[in-house]
Amino acid sequence: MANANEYDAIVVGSGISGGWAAKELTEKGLKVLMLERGRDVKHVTDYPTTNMDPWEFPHRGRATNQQKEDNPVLRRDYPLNEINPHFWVQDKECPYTEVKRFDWYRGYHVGGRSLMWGRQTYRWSAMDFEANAQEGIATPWPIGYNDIAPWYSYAEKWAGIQGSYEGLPQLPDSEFLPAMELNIVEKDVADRLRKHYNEARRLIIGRSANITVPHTGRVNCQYRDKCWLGCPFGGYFSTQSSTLPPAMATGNLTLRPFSIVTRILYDKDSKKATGVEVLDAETNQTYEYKAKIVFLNASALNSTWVLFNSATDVWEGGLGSASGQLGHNLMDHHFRVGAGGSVEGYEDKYYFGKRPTGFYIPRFRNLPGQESRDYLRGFGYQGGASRAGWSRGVAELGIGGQFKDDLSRPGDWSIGMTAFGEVLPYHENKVTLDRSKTDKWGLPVLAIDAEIRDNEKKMRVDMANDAAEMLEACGVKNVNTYDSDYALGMGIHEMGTARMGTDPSNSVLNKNNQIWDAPNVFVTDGACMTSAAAVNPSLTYMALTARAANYAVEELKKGNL
Amino acid sequence: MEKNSTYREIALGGEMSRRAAVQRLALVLGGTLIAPSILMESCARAANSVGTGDPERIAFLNAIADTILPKTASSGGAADANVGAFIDLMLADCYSQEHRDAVNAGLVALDAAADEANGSPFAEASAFYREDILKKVDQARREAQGLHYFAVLKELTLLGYFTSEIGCTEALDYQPVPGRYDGAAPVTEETRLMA
Repeated sequence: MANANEYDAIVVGSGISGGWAAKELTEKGLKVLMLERGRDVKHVTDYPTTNMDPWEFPHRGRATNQQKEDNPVLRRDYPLNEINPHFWVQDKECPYTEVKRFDWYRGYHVGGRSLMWGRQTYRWSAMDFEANAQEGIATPWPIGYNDIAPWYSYAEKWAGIQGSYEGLPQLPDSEFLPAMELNIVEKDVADRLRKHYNEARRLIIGRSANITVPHTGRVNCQYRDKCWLGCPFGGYFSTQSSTLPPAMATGNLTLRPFSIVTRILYDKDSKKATGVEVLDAETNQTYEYKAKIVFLNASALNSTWVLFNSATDVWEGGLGSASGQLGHNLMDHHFRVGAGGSVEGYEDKYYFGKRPTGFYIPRFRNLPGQESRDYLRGFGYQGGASRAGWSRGVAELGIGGQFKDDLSRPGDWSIGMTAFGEVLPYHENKVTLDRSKTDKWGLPVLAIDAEIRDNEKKMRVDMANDAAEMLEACGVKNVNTYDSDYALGMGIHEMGTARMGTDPSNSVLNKNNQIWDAPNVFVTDGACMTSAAAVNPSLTYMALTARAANYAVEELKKGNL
Repeated sequence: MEKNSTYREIALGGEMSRRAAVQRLALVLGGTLIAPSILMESCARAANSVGTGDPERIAFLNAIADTILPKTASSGGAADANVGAFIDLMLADCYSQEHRDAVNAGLVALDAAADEANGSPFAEASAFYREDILKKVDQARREAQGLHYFAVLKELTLLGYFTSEIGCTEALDYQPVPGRYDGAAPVTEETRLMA
């Protein structure tokens, strides 16, 4: 290598998509520099709480008043806690501006949110890729299901996805490891649901990136349900368990933590990136690193932040802004609405082990050939059936020894489910740079201006009512719907702001995730999404990243990049 | 991402002044309003040392917790697990001043009522008598609108006990590494909640 700061490729970010980019590019022989803005997190040894017993947490997992005071955003939901605070970005260090409420839960460390993710793993269907074009919404996807299907298979075989083969057109099967088991109540409800809706609605095991058999040198899931603490067995997919080890094994990877990429270095004559500028988060020194290609995988909003700050001498709004789409079309999945009820009987059955997934009910609304609803797109449900724990005793009347012994045994069965719905890509839902506010390093922050609109609000009515109708049809008692309200961002599925498209006039990226104005820059994290579908997005990032990396190396070999 | 229901905060709303708490307890116990001098004395003992680990306050909280969840044939009680210290820590670190005020007022009233009816502070009353008092207080809790101090104490007692080493390993079935999942495990006499 001519210069210590020169590489074949630079990967910005080390989360789900960055990890995949590093794995693919190094395995294809490229010398890769992976830049992570936060600290290093070593597999197993840097999971400080993963083997702690409940009583070792002084507040038994709850956030303290001091934590709440320090984290006005994190405190809004479960990311503020005593169990894994080391994996969530503290609000004080990294502020942002909420033009409208937007809950932004981030993980700035090696592995990013691959360490804390929910692991639900679903393929998109052909219908999802075609919806924008068919409905005249936003802009068409430049790829279809057949373009990505082989890459889904490729990513699944390595990542390890458990699930059941169902043959549903709206939710294509993955390459599955043996499925986790529905519990006895879920199984019976699944049977009743199939019968009642004549196979048109189905309750299946929630497909997840948990391995049920030993896989690629990792130990299978031990049913602790402590995934978000980091798994010492490597039982779920994370950068640390799955993509970083093979990348490191090639000898081609250099990982540099504490490296905030402030901009992509752009050469306007060759119309290519030449590398990136890095601010060392510990020393505040600035460095430049050069490479033939750059993979931008900083997470949706931060990848766009980097683009805003890049090539501003050519385009005032940054690299990719010529389309007028950079920063726009921000999406998430809307949820926190559903239904639950009580289940009679089954007192002689319980479960053993803590299954790290629930059940899933695939989308059944607005499918081809169906009567359409008063909104576009659809939703699926995640849920579970369980027996009440000791916390039931808080509301019950009870004092004394019998009360304690009763609470030590499983309570009544109940079942509940939460809908996850598609959010449309609205141009008005956007992020911009807020230069009036800076973070700990003096860098301008993002301003987020987004909300759900009429389509999502109408969908939420079905999301609640359909859940109740199905539960009642399956014999569940005392069914109640709920809508716990939702603000964009709570789904932790930020998508869009640098979308793919068919033409430079309608998109930031082309069909291979290349920036139209800088073809050696690939953006393959959530930023690239042209629509959101109703299913969890991470598997699609994995597949798109592997696909783009393969294309990038082919083009490099041809001398095209 | 998934939430752990074990740690889910129980929603507590509304407001209850110390005076209202005292009066409600007095009514529940069928007694007259308590003399201010007793209140002040109890106050010094029970209510003015949140989070300091004051032994007398911890003992009082342990007496309450252990009345709610006493030692039984199968498992140790809340005092064995020192749930009183946990409650005190939680009130100091995780609860609002409003909650602390409500609990402190409740403790004062509880002690004073025990004193008046039984001639001794709550912690020194017999187990039978303590259970009798708390059953009435528990009834009042369930009927109360808004924040009731005993809802806070009972919730913290259950949380503290069932996540303690004694609670997890003696009362519940604690499996740090289950290793497998069975979705239709038969229930027997020995079956306990998965901790």
